[in-house]
Amino acid sequence: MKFGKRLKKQIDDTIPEWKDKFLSYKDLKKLVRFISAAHPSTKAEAQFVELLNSEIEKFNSFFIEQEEEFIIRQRELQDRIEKLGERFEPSDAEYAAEMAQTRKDIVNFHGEMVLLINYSNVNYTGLAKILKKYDKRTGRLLRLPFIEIVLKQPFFTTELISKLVKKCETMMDPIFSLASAVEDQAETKEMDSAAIAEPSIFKNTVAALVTMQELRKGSSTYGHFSLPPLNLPEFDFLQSPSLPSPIPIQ
Amino acid sequence: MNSQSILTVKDISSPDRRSHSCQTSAPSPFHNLFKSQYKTSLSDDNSLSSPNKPSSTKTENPSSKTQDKPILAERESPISHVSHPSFSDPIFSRSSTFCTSLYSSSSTSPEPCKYMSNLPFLPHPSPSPKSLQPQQKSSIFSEDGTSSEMVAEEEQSDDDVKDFLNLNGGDASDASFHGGNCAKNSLAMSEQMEFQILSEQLGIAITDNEESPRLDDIYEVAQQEASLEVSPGCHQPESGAVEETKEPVVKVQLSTTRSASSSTGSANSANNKPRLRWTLELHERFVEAVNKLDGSEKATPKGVLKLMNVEGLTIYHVKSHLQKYRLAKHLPETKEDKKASSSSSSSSEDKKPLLVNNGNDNGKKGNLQVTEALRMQIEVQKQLHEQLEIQRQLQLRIEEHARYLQKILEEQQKTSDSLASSIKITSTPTEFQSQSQLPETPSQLQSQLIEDNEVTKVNKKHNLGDSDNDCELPKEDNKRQRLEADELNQEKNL
Repeated sequence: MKFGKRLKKQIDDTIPEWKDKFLSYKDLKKLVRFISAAHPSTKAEAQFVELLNSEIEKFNSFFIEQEEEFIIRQRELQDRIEKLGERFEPSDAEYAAEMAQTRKDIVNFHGEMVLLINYSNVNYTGLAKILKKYDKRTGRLLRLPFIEIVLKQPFFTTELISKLVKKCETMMDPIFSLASAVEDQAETKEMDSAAIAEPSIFKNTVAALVTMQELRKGSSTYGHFSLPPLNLPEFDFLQSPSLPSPIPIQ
Repeated sequence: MNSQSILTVKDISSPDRRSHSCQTSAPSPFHNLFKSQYKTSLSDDNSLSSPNKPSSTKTENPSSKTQDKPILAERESPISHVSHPSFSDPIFSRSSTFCTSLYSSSSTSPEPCKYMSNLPFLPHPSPSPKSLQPQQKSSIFSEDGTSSEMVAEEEQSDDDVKDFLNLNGGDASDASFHGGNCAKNSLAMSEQMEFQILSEQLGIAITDNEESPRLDDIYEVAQQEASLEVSPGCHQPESGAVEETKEPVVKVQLSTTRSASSSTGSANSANNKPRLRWTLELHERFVEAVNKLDGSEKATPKGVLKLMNVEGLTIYHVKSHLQKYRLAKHLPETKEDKKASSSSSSSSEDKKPLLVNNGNDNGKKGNLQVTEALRMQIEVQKQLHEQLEIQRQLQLRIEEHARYLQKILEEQQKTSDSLASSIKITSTPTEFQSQSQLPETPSQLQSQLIEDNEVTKVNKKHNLGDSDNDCELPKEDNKRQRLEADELNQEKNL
């Protein structure tokens, strides 16, 4: 149930609109339990496969929708950044505000895309696990061929999103380097307002990383098909039980 | 020793890598493949030539009908012949499934025919055709190029795109059935052996479930056409053309844009809207078209569609995309307006109020902290992205190796079967080697397996990014081998 719990946690921490788009791991597990190896019931198995298919359909539609939106947003952000230079003088106050907003938007955009890739990965992992359980339970070999189909599904072929992420990072570099140049002389001042960064995205990202790390630690079923342990660089907030926002919230 | 095994593994899996890298590096041709395949079915063109299509799916479909067994055997041969040309060309076989079958010798082809005809049902006890009246689109079915092509062929006789889509999507489990089997066929001789045993228990029940006049019609009618169509179709890939040009139906735009891709299946099955996967290039075209039409407000879907001039793009696609586009355009504008007008603002998208709207000194100083926070966020996000990429690569590799090992198993089973009952199949890996009567190739593979096993024992744990994942795989597969070997033994002894 470890994966199930972790999946649930991820879902809880995720972007609200995404919550019901994740794998229905629990339901699939229940179905597998109904399938008894000794007395094969075609109905239960059929149900299982049906649910698998509908889940995959769900992933695909959601993923493709999001992908489309990201493509649009990325372009818009790009245009925005280009126009930013044209519209304002660098010393203009409004420019700074615009810049800050843009920066924030880019970072959040980047975060959302990465979270989508994470979504894809989490669901894939869940599918692989449930198929393994099915195979174990029934002694059949559904996993291998089925997972191959899964590998080709749109929701798992995340190359485009990855590309967008990299593009986003390229877009960010000038923005942030510009920022530091402008603010070098700024004094640090205690902020009297709420956090800037989109906390939910940040929180979800951290949660995702942590989950990934935990999932890949040795487990009872650790074997040849398992992924190796994940070694992350030291992030303080990864270790702490509660995920602090980078800016103190008041 | 290690190097030898790794070398050979690498050699064999290099086609996988090739296709694999193709997969990762170029999403658009990959999508284009689906697009082109779907295009075929959409346009009801009879000259189906998708490289992926020859697969196994066809062979698997009818096998569920007991009464279709004789027909099944017939169908197998054209398909299996067809499958070879496609298998021999790694370039267009995007799915690594087919690449792995590169090293499955063509001699395996006749086998499936025999096995198939023996099986009253297929490994996936999926329910069936009564859910043919489809509410569900199964993207598995559609996304798997082979299966969709197979069905497309079958549907030629119906000559109805809608039916195709229905059939495609409707029976979700049937779809997985197909999809699963298309992959399976390239591997699973041993599985079929196993299922022969299981089939005794399950077969009748399942075939009962799977009666459906419609399905029968389709299979029976379509098969003759299929055998005709598939053969000429399959030769196209052999001409060495790259994916986009393989499909005669695909118009020039598609090839040049390289980005238009659509796949069957959609969330809204009532509309039978094929789902389009937007790409950067496609969106670029869209934006150009919109700009020519004086902006997102004034542009109409029809106009944009015309201007874009992309084959296979429907007005529904453009409509929904335009809607999203307008939304995306408006949100930033409203944000800017708000900011301009008020000193404190919260944009609709933000969950927390924004700090830096004042544009005064306070904002400037706060900016630094904000930027730092953002930087931290970016770092974490980049980390996650990197890890996800690595994880994905690993997952793909793991599956590749699982397939490879499955292949070895099949090879071994097949050769041991064909050598008749005089050779007793033993259950330990070391004994595989001692079967000197086995032909060269399988024993070579087996010796690799043993070497891999030994390496496994040495390298129990490995680090991230270590390329020795494959070493650990043999063990699990040995269990499977043993299981299947045991069953084979039992079967022989019966």
